[in-house]
Amino acid sequence: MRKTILAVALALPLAACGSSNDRVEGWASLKDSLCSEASASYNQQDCDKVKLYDLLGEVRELQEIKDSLFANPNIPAEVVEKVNRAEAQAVIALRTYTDAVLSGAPVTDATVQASLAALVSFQQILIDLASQEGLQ
Amino acid sequence: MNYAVAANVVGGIITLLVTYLGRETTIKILDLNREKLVDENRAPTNEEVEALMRQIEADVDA
Repeated sequence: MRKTILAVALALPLAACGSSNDRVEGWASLKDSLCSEASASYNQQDCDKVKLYDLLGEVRELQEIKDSLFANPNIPAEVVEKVNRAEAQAVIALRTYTDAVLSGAPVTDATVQASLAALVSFQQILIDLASQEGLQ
Repeated sequence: MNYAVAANVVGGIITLLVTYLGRETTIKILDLNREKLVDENRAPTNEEVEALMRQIEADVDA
């Protein structure tokens, strides 16, 4: 029974690796197609939505990394607070970005830049934490 | 004493495994959502964007 569980746990990541490159290329190609003004399928709101969706996916993955790191009970409370604060700031910035995109109004550079800056800050804090914990 | 150490080790391994599988599941779902958009060659709908944003917000509140 234990061998079966171990085999399944090891097989899952291998199965996930399968067509990973195809998926990444397909997604990149869709973004290019929707955001290229030369493309027949170009549409500014669709382009904004696909870029935002991409960014939201990145944040979701960062949240999962955060949860993995927080599984270590020895992380100091002040570090946990710092990570949570960075996450909250990223989510607030992304909510502003999301509301702007979904309203159909033009999205300003300032809105996009604020989200990117908050996301990079959240990511950097997680990288620092992972380095300290030797979990990278 | 030895049982307590063993229990802690097993507990730690289970926690790591559950966390790992949870992360893999989330990433798999994200991949599937993107794959669907690629197959249908379209941008996400407003509802799909909003749903993902809400998942993110729910994880902060959790």
